[in-house]
Amino acid sequence: MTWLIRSRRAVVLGLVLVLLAVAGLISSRPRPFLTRMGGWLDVGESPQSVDMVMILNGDLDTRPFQAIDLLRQNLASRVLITSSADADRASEFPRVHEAMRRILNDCGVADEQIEFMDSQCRSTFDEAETLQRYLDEHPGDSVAVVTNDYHTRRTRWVFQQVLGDRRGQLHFVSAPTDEFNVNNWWRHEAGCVAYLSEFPKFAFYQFRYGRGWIWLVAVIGIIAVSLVLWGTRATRITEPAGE
Amino acid sequence: MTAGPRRRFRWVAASLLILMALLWGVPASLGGLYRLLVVDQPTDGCDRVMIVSPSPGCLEFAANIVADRGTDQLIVPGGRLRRPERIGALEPHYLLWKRQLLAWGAPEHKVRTVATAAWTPHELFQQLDQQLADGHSGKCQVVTTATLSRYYRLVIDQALPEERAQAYVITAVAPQPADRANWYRNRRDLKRVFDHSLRTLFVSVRGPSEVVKADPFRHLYAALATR
Repeated sequence: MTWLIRSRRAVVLGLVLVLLAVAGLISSRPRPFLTRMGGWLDVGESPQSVDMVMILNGDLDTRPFQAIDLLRQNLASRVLITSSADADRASEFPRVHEAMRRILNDCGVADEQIEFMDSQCRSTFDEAETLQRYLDEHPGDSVAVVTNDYHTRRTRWVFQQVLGDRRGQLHFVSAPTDEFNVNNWWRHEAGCVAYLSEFPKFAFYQFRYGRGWIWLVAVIGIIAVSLVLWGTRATRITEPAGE
Repeated sequence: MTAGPRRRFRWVAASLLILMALLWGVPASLGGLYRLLVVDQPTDGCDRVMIVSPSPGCLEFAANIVADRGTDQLIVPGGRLRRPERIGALEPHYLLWKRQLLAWGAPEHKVRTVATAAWTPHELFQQLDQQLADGHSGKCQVVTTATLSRYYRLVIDQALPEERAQAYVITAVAPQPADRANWYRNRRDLKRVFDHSLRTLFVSVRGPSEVVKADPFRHLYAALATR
């Protein structure tokens, strides 16, 4: 019994020491850790020639301009935009896709170059399904998906989940963000919100659209079995001999 | 009862207690989080109203205040123009807010837009206060989404000297349909409260943001200008 108590204490003490060591390492050199943490979210590729550029709904300050830059470099000739279910919008405010079209037109992109799909997207997953429907009609097209740098990992994951075998036709291009970047996001309010909210969103997507729940059940199962076995072994040790 | 069954009984009882605590405690905690984010102050002595959140609920609320109470002015502040606004593709955001307020019945002569070059909310209130102070002695009612109300209270208190900060009073407008009791039941409100919680936490811990004032698309403007 004594050795069991000592071993439990040793395990708890070991865990505490490991946590303290990790916390100490992070707090002594926070910047490299935070930069790496933010950099993990950016999986954007170097721009390359594609048939179509898809602009994800959201940041009108940067995403359409990154797409315009691709067109200006003759890396693409057409743009795909989708409608969003922006129910919170006041009636005098333009809808996101309308604003997007105005920006593109004002920067020299003709209406003939803009393809619009009215899909009422509420999420990145909806946008991936919209692209799937587009590729059903244009099966050979290669597409550059433009979104903010911190959003690219989750975007790539969900688009590859939805599009499956067509993932080879996709490329993901990072649009830089105004006012903050991967080297200082933790010092800017919008940067903190953008980067920190990506992690729970990515985890949610793993569970909602992927196999995350299988991993969770497996981990819980392993922990439960370990606890039962540990408790059973303790019960056998403490029961007097002969019972 | 022998040692083995007694231990099992304790495990079962503890598990049931934890489950009950979760079922009752989680909604109560989430409601508590909502309350932490909300500040709603008395509006005595306010003769101006200022909009800082462009949600339909806030805009309509402000338009009704001006119409019902005969408030002197409805201030529509404008920060630094966004890129689409700077190149003329979109109308400045504060003009859109003004048009919406007029659509909801706010008298045009009472709506005043105040443009600034502010990069952050702290700079916005500092620049606004310089333009609005001009010998005015009344208070200004700042209308905002409920879950950003504590955030704006912190911003104003950090950005301005104490006697000037007290001239701004916060009014929290609950976004429909979310309120304290149900905000966690749909994804949109969950995301909104999470984002607003982070913003409030950031401001309370760090204060003003550090801004990188570089333009990553500067190279594009010359090309667009020559087309």
